[in-house]
Amino acid sequence: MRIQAEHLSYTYNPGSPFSSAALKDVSLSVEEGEFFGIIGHTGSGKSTFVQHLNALLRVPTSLKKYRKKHKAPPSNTVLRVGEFDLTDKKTDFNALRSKVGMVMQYPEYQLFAETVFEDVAFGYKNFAPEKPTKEQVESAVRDALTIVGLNYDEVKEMSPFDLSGGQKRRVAIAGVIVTKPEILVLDEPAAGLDPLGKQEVMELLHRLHASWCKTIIIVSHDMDEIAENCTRVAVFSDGEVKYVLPPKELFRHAEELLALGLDVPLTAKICLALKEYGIRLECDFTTEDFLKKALALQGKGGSV
Amino acid sequence: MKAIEFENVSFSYEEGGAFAIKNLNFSVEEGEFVAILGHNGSGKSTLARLTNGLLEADGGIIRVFGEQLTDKNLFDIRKQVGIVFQNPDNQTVASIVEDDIAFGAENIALPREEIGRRIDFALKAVGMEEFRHATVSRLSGGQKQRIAIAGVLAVMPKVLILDESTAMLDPKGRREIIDVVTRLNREQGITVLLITHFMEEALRATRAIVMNRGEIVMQGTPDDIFERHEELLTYNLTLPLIGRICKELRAGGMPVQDTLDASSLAKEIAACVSKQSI
Repeated sequence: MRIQAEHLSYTYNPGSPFSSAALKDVSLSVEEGEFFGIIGHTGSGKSTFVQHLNALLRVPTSLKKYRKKHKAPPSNTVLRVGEFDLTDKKTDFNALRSKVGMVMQYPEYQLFAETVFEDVAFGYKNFAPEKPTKEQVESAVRDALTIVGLNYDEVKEMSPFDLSGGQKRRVAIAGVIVTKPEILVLDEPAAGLDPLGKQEVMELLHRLHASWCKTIIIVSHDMDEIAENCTRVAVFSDGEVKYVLPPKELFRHAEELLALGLDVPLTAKICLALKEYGIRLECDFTTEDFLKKALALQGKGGSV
Repeated sequence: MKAIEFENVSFSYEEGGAFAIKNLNFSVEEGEFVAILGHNGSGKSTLARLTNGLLEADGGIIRVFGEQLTDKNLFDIRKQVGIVFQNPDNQTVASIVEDDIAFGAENIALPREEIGRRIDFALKAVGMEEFRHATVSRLSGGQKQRIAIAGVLAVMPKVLILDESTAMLDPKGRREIIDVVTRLNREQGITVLLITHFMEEALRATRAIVMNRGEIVMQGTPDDIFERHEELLTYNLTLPLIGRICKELRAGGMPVQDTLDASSLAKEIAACVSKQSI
């Protein structure tokens, strides 16, 4: 499923003294199969944007209330996810939500059931078109827990609250992917975990990308993570999209990004600092490529 | 003077269960800036909560500025040891910044004028003077966390513990907090215990401690600790990325010195490259 947004705007508390424009005329497409990154500092509109993708926030024209107030649909806004038209109030939003999984920040805070099994099964039962059999639920939960790297038989009867931080997060992710969404959106999937937990979550995302979820979208503040993993990156700033580029090209604009108050990967910082010594090091900003190019500098005397 | 002293302290969350803290001996001198590292579940937060009596040890002695922590002096000791937690939203009690900061000071029944003075002091210390009358819920995560620190400072503790206080913040918010804490340590002489997963943050500390399964397994200056990378890996910790890059460059035959920031590594690389070309 392709995501296509054109002229998308969103204002919180419209018409009140607290009115604030979170998205201003945003146009952005994400192709099927991408591992897409979204960056931008707090309040830049990135969360508002991703919450549109499974209609947690609705385009005003898709709401009855709006239709009543304004007779004609106004705008040139386009928001499509695969075959779903999110500007149309007749769209089956429930079906959309089973295809677009959303993992919020700190998803482990949303665990609620007495056992891991019940917690993961909840999403599956909720989205099943008709009442699933016990066997169907069991096999779906088993698959989901297995793919996130947990041992089904070991954890199914445990309370999710007795697990470690990294395990809790993986249970929470299992509860979302149990419907096998085609698009998986994650807001800061590795935040707050210890280094090993971080690594495990990123490996899990690649495993999912190779199997269940065609498209992965991550919102992250960790530029090293973005440089290592993403095919393309969108930079949000002040409700607008400033750049949409592969990391390799994006982080060549290190100086502009720093001026926007954003961080850049460590590798980009080093490349930027090397320029002052008259050394041009061009790499794709992954650690691996950086090391290769940096080592190749030796013997060539300064330019790769 | 020792600010904090643990003598054979043990603690487990369930009776007869695994030890979260096991026979721990350690101390922190007044004015030190100590970083505590360790993977999830290694006992870092338990250690923080034991220090000001939020948890009661099963065995052993805890002393704060020489005084043994008991039921009787619990509240006096909490005035000396303040903790800032992870989630800024869970630590605000009032809707207006100055009321929120006053909460702790009001609770220890200080006179009104004194509370006013302490709010001034605390706001200044965290660099939030112009937000005195702002609504807490409309601040950014980093600003809220600075207000949480200010609330703790208004009680004027001598020890400040940050229990993963930067984990939920964006890079800018994180820098704000670490800068404030570093300044409090250097200028006000406040003893700081910084519990963190961000290896980069530990570099600011004068001493780093690595915990594993409720025990202290490594100790030294941050530089010393990060030099022992093989050992760190066995405790499920990694080097800061820059440390890994230095190590890999050396392994590939480029003799760079270990360094901890991008511009000095660039200088190192430039030196290696120019030597070669001559």
